[in-house]
Amino acid sequence: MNALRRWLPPILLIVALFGLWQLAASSGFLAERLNLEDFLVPSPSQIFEVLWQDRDLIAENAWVTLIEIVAGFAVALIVGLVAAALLHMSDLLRRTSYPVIVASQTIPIIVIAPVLVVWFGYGIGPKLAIIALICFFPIAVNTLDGLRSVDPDSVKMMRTLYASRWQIFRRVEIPTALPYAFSGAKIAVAVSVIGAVFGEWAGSEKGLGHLMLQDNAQLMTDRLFAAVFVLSAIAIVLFALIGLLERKILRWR
Amino acid sequence: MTASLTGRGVGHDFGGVTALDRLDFDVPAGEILAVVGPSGCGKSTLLELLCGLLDPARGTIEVDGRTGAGERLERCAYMPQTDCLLPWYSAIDNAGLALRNRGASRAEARERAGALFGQFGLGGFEDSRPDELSGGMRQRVAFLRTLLSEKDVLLLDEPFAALDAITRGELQEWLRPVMAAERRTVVLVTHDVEEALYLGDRVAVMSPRPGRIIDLVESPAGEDPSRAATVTAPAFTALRQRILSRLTGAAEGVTRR
Repeated sequence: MNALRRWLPPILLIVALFGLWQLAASSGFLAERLNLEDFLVPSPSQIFEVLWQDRDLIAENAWVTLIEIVAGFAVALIVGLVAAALLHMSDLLRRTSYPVIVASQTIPIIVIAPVLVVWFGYGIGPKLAIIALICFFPIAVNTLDGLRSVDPDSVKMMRTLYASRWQIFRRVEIPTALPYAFSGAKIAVAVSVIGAVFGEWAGSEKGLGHLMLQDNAQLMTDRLFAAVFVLSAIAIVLFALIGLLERKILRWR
Repeated sequence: MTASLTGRGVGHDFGGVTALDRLDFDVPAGEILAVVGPSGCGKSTLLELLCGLLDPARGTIEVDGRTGAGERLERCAYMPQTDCLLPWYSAIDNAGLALRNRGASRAEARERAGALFGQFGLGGFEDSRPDELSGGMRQRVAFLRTLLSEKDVLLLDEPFAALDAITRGELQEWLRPVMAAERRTVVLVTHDVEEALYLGDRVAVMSPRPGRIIDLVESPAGEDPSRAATVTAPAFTALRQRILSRLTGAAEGVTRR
C-alpha cells in the first residue's frame, strides 16, 4: 500500500506525458507544426518498438556506459569524501584550495573532452576523468558543508568526555555530514550520465553516447530517443539505489 | 577523589569585549556552587574556562591544584546547555560515550550505563532514540553521560533551561539527592535564582557584562527533602529576595551609566 502510494504519482505522470506525446506525434500534429517528415518526430510507441527490435545493440552500448558511470562515480566519491575530510581538518588547505576546486567546475566539459581524448585515447580513461570531474564537486562541497555544520557544543561535550580528534570525527562529525554527503551523491549520480555522454561524443567506439551520435547522423531519431530513454532509466535506477542506501544507513532521520 | 577549584583575577575577552573581569573564587572539593546572573554575563564562558576548553586571557584557574588547560580538561566534565544527545545513538549508547571514548567496548559501556538506567528513571528506554524521549528524560540521559565520565568536577550549564516549569521542578528535586550522593565538585550555572538556591551549597551572583561576582550567598541548609517545603521556607525566600535585588540593582547600575 505504501509502495503503491509512493510510486503511483510519478508513474501516472510519466504515463500521462507519454500519452500526450503519443497523441501529438501519431496524429501528425507535431510533424505538421514543425514542418518535418513523420519519421523525424517519433511517437513513444515507435521508440519502444525500436528499443525492442535493437535491444541487443542498445544493451551492449548501455552496458559500456553503465560501467563508465559507476566507475567514474566511484572515483569521484572516494576523492570527494577524502578531499572534504582533508579540507575540513586543515584551515590552510581549505583556504588555499577552495578557489581551485571551484575553478575546476568552470571548465567547459564539452570543450575539454576532445582534448582529454587526444591525451588519453579512445579508452575508458577520458570518460572516467570527465564523469569524475563533474561528480566530484557536489560530493566534496556538500560533504564539507556537512562537516562544518557540526554542533560546536557537541564537540565541546565530547572533548570533556575524553574524546580524541579521531573519536570526535568518527562519532560526531561523520554522522552529521552523512546526510549532506548523500545529497551530494544524488546530485552527482544524476549529472554523471551527462558526463558519460559528453565523454563518448568526444571520441569512443561504444556506449549510448556513441550510439546517439550515429543515430543522429543517420537521422534515426527513434533509436536516438530509445537511447535517451535507457540513459534516463540508468540515472533513475542509480538515484533510487542511493536513496535506498541512504534510508538504510540514516535510520535516525 | 574530588577536586577543588580556585580562580585568581580571572578575566576573558571576546573580540575586544570584556566578557569576564577580575573573578576570584574558591570552590572546596565536594561543594556545589551555583552561579546566577543575567544572560550574557559570561556564565557559559566561565564554565569553558574552568574545564580548559578555553584559557583565560588574564589570571589563573586551578583545578585540583593544576593550572594547564589540558590538565583541567582531564578533570572536568561539561554538560552543555542543549543536551547534545547524538541522534544516531540510542539513549544507552549516548550515556556511555565517555566510556567508549576511553576504550571500553560497546557491550561494556552498555552494561555500565544500563546498570544506572533504572535509578535515573530511564528503565525500558535503553534503546530509544533521543527524539523518542521527553525533554526531562533527555536531560537525565545527558546528566548520566556526564556522571559516567567519572571526573571529579561536573560543570552544568543551565541543565534545565529548556524544560517546562513542572518538569524542571521535578528534575531539580530528583537531581539534589543524586548530587549529594555523588559528592563531586559541581559548578551549576543558571539564571533561575530558585534553582540556584535549591541545588547549590553556595550561590555566586554575577553582574551583567563584564561579569564579576558581586555577591556570595550560603544556601539555607534545608533538610526537608520536598522541594515545595524548601523553597517556601522563610529563610529561603529571604535569600531569594536578596539575590533578586542584587541582580536588578546591578542591572540598574548598568542602565544608569
